[in-house]
Amino acid sequence: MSFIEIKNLSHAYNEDDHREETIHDLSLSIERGEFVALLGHNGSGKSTLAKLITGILDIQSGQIIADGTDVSKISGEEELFALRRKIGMVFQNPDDQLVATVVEEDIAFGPENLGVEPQEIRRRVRNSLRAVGMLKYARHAPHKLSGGQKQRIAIAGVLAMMPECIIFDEATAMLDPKGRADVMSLISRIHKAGITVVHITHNMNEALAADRVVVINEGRIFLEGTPSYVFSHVDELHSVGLEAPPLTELLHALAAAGYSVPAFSSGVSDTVDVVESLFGK
Amino acid sequence: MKKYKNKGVSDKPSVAKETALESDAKPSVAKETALESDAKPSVAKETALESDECIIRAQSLYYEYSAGTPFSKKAVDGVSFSIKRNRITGIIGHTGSGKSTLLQMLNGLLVPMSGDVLLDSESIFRDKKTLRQARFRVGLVFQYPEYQLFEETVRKDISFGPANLGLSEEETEKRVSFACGFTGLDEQLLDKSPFDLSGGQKRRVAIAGIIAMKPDVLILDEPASGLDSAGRRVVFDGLVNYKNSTGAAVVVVSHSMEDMAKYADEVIVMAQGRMIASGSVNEVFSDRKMLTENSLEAPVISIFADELRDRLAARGIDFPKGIYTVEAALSAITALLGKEGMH
Repeated sequence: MSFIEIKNLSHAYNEDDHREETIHDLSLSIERGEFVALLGHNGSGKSTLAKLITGILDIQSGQIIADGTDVSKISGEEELFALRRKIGMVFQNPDDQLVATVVEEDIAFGPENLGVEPQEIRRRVRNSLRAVGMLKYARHAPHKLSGGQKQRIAIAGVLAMMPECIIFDEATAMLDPKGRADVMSLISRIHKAGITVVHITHNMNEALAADRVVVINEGRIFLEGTPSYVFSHVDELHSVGLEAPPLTELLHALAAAGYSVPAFSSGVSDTVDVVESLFGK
Repeated sequence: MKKYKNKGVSDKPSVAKETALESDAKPSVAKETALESDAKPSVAKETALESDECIIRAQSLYYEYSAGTPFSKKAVDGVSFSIKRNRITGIIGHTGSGKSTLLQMLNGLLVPMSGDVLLDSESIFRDKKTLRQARFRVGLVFQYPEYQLFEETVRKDISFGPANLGLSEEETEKRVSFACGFTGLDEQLLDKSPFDLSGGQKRRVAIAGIIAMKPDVLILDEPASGLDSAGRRVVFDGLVNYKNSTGAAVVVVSHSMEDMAKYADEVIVMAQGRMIASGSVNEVFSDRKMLTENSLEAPVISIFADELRDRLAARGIDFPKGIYTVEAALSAITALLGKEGMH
């Protein structure tokens, strides 16, 4: 059985009005240890999906089974906490998710609430901060850090709960290029450590790092597959307000102009080779 | 600071020539400014010449946070440039490079500790009147402006600025439609609560609220961040349209080199509170060394174009310089292939 099984899920913010459904009869499985990128334009239903998986929103229709637990049947705080310990979530705005005035206290907040032993808490705080490269900031005030640093602290806070899966809900959207790169390399390392990663993003280059890309449109799965498969479908992406990475867009435009080129660019030098070959031997 | 042979954003004699050429191409704008300089006979002759072109001049701006304490931090340190009408000027630089502090000085929200901001050759800090005028003429859209929406309806939110200008209800209503036009907002949304809209729509409502003031200078801090590519396009196309139809100056801070390459005419690069380069998009983006030294990445298409140029040069084929966008790369490649008879 997959780590997360979503079956025939539907959701409407206005429960009486099914025309305003944000999720329509959506089914999706996420395997343990997988790195899935969720793409879709603003308002496509990506964040709603993430909130349904983590029990922030109640399930109206359909089913989500996370690591064997039926999320719709969760009753009481204890079961909900168990779910959130297993599946952590990092949000877009770093300022919305830091609670303490000292970095290490912020990281300790989650495990403390779980009733973890003080000595174990100290160990987890240290390990999580080391994992995100922020150990020397343990005694700093979070609000004085940069956006990228704050986001790494938020991730450390989730890691301290020792989750099996982390959902990043546009966690890089508010960061500058350096902050983005730092968080992306951290996400890759988290994935390599065996944690299941779901990364919701608008950035096509970030999606290239995933094992599988799932494009959501109007609450339905529109396209899914490996990054090279999904980004080869440039016309389809355009039709739902998305773009492929620039070099793939260029190859697509060359193909449309009648040249015989591959549909997907894996990088700069690869594309230079392709274009040079158009000029003959 | 690199100025790229004085052809940059900064004021130099060569600029006057450029404007003369330009005013031929865009007669409507020239006329408008001519009218305006008539209205202000006090303006010195030299500046009258330039007023065609330059609307804001920042002179040696300096700003420090927590000044006089051991924690003082220079945010903006001796920055001078000018912003031209009818252009989109991009400002790039890392977080903490001083961009946001700089923007807040341009409409007088922050008072520089030294230096000055001239709006049509007059200091905006001269007195209360000039400062108030600057706040109306220089519209500032902060990062994530949708967090500042507060009214019951979209219409009321967009009307807030024009109503504060003392405009009649009828004129205010006109301004609302005017602003909706540039931000791609469906007027059917006007009676909804802004809180019922999607993130992208909220963003556009917030931008519309500033455009409804018809600012002569429209400044935006990361207007497209967090938006999908269709959303980015709507926002930037709107800014280009606003600039084209009003002749206003548009200043955009962005981390996206791709967007800058596509939409900006001129670029200012900030690092550690200083302006380290300024010039046309071509000049700035072709200075790969300066970009790398400041860990700013050039658009991926331009990196591709450089490698392709080297490769084709070995075959005696001349691939053009200054390629930063997919469209430009496509037309350069197809033109060359056509010439080589490869199609």
